[in-house]
Amino acid sequence: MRRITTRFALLIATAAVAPLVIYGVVSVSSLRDGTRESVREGNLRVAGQVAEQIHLYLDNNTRVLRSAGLELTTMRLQTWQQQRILRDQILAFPEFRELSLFDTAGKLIATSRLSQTTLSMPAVGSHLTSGVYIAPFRVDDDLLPTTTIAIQMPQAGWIIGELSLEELWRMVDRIRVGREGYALVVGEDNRLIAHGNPDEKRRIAISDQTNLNPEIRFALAARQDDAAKFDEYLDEGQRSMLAVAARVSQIGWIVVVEQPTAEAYATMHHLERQLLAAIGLALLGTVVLGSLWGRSFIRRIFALTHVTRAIAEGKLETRVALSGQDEIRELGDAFNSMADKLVELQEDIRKQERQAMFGRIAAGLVHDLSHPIQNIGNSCKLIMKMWDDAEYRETFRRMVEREMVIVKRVLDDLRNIARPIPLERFPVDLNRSVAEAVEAMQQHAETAGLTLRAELSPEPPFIEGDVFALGRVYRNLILNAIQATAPGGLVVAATETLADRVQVRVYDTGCGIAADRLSAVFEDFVTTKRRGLGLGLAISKKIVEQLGGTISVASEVGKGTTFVLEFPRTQARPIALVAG
Amino acid sequence: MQARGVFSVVVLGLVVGGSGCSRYQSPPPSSGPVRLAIGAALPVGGSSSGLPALRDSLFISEPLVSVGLDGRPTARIATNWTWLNGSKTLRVTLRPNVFFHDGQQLSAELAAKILSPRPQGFGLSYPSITSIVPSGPDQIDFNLSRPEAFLLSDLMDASVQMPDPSDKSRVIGTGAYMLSGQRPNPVLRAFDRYYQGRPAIDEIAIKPYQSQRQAWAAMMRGEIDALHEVSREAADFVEAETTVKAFSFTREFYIPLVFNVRHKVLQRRDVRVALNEAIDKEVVVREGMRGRGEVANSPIWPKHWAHSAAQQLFAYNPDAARIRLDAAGLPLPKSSSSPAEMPSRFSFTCLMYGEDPRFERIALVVQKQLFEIGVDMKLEPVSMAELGGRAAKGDFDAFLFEMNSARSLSWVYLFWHSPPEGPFVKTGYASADAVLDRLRHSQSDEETRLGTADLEGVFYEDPPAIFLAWEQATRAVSTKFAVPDEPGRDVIGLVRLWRPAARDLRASR
Repeated sequence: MRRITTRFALLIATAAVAPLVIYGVVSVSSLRDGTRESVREGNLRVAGQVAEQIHLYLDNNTRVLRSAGLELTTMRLQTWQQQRILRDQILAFPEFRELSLFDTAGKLIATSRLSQTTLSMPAVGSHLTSGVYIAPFRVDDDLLPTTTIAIQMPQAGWIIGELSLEELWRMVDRIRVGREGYALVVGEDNRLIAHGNPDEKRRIAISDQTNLNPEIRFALAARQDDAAKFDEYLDEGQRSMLAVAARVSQIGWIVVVEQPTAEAYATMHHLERQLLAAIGLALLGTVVLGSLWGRSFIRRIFALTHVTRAIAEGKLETRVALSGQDEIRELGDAFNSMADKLVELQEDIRKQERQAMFGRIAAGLVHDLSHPIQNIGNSCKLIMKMWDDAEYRETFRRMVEREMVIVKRVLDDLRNIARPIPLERFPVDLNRSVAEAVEAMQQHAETAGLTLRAELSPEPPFIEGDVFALGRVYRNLILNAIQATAPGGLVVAATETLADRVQVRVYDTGCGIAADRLSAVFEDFVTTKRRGLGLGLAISKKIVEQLGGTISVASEVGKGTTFVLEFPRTQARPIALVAG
Repeated sequence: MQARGVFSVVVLGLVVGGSGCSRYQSPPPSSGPVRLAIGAALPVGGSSSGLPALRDSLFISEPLVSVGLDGRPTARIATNWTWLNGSKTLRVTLRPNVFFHDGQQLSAELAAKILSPRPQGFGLSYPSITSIVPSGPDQIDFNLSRPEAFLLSDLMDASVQMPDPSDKSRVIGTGAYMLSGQRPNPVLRAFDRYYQGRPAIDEIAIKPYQSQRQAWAAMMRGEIDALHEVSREAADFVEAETTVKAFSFTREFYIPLVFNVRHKVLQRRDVRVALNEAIDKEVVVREGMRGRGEVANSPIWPKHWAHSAAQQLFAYNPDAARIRLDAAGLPLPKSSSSPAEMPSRFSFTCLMYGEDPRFERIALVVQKQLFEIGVDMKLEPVSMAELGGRAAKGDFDAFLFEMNSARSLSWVYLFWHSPPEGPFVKTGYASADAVLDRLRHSQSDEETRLGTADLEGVFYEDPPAIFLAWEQATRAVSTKFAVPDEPGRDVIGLVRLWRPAARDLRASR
């Protein structure tokens, strides 16, 4: 049986908990994926902006250089004018530390340096992009990043500038992603050019960088594969880092934005926790509210069930008090009305049963007593006439005594049914008492045309009992069996000795007792006979139970009935046997 | 040129061993001696031959007095001083319990013997000293033939030291550290009986490097703990480092564009005034020095106690400069006589130390500003030796370099008084001689103030140079060491007060 609480719990689970849990899982998963994607994209945008800024920075400086070159090569200027222009450029554009102009043969025309220029033409075979050559990054003696840009002026030589990349460093230094996210730049030779973390700049100056550094490896991978823009790895301090890469266009530099994953995904984790907390609260609320509401619903069901059981147990005074203004309340009210009606009906039935019982008792009494009383009455009338007949007086006396015994027995039965029957308890040989009872009833059996016999246990069964009361019980059972068996049938009284008990069975091949009446055969005033109070089996049951035994009946209509008596076995022996 | 000017980059190696007892708060017990290594790049083409002298003066030896930030003498081995006998006698009281590294206790008699007949170094006032005699158990008298107001300033450079009998190249002083170990890398060990208490840092090693990059890389590798000089360009990044602390301060060195007033044009006062008006010194500091400097208006230390707040200053006024030059008969021609030359009112050649990039950018800024008023200043980069030699001989039109004020008026006198008093630079400038002489012989603070004000007036009325800027220097020290940061002071000079930071006592390699 599936209980209603289980059903209700399943209802809450399927209608609320399961959807919430599924929603939670999906939401957390979506949140995680979405936030990761968002963080990565955000950082990638930052990296892209930095790369763009670097490109613009280089591009702007290239334009300045080209512009100066054009001015120097297209206008017919004296050397001192060219020098003036170059030196003014140096002052106007602090990024340039030195500018020099060379002719097509590589001979120096003018320089901003006061002493010898440190610049030279690009080596043959150097890669030019639109006539521009950008030398590999290097760190100068002041530990500052430097490069050289050489621009080939059409048929006019070269203008070359030594570009200090401090602004690059400052640009990178300004990039902060969260509190611990930094940008760094890796050159085309996979050397670290710039690092936004001031404590990491030393790596640039120490020049002991290796490709084993995780960020360098990542930059290398990003350079080789455009799709490799994201990665997570452990840095040298074993911190998990999220890195994104963007390429600086036209040069082989890679901008990496690095941020500890703990910080990068902090918002995601925070939102996750909030979402999980919200879902948890929703779940808890659902369960609690569901339980509370369910309890109020189920409690009323239970109340109804409890009251119904009490009613079934006979506590007809029990009523149910249900709160609410719903169908359950109506059900409770209807139940109470039904219980009220039930009580009324019970009273009516009891009244009727009492009346019926009284009627039956009265009829039984009338029937059982009218005959003896009638006989006594008739005999009294006759004695008045035949008082002189001594023989008749004797007959009268015997008749009155006999009839009074019957009356007394009827009255004793009535009295005994209401109180314990006084019994003597002595060791009794059941074989003997059963045999005596069978013998006493042989005449009845012969008269009824059926066989009555005893089947006794080879091992004598001894019990503590009242021989006279037991005899009455056997005679009652045998008489009932004879009365229920058609001529030619069989009635047997058998004994059997068990380990600690003794059994007496009285069975017949009579008409049997209907199943619906079987349970009531031991009740008072229940009889199938046309006459009698119906106390025989009730008194027999009472005698057996007072002696510590049990009586039961099994019957099949048309086949016969078996009464089984069981008593505790005793080791005591009857006095006659002991003496003998 | 003054040694300090030459050794603007100093290689110091201080190895401080062991945290011994100190009168100051002792650092927690460490597993070994506390060493400090200071690195610095040698000047380009320079050598370390001058290192011992500077090392000695900074750590081994001490003078009687030091110079404070306001230019006044502060107590050192001497605790106080008094002028007597119409300012012809300076009586100096010595500090008690001062010991030499060999254990001898300093007495008045010993001090007088060491300093006699004249203290070490070059002192303007020293020729006037007639005798140095003890006048008490702890007092010595400097007797002069005439009042010399600069005597105390001169004594700031006079170390009280003795030659080491075992090694004449070494000296024995009373400083916080004494030389220990053999060449070529001797170390300085803390002196237990130093009168201000044994320093917390036990050993100091000085490590020279060929370039600043090498020195900085060495610092980042942990080989040295302090860097003597951080370039202007790198200072921003160094200051951002969390494992290094940068200390910047204004040095007592100023950068002038010094004129040779014997030049046929520069001899004219109005021309020199015009040139001063043509220079925007703020731009010089901002563009030429990356903002790491202060505008200079005279060779007098701006924080000097006698400096006049009412000093007249040149305002940047190129228009006035042009007008002045026009009025001086130096108009701007429309073209030059030679196509290789720019048309200019006049031209002159400015010598500059070509191997130190600090000066090139300053020179370019000044050249540009002079160009804008039509003056052609040609820049001639030269070596240190040539610069010094030609300046001393007066063989120049102008030169651009740094000069030491020493935060004292005596050095102003040395540089800007006409020869034969000043041995270093022959500019031909004598306009300030009278005022400088008054200052030299002043006998009261009031006289000094008035003389200083007059001197600043002379430098304004008849400028011998364009006083461009005071230099700012930056030192870098590892955060392994707790350094007292006294604004305006050079932390290297306060090494005796350094101590290991509480969190890290690991020795440097």
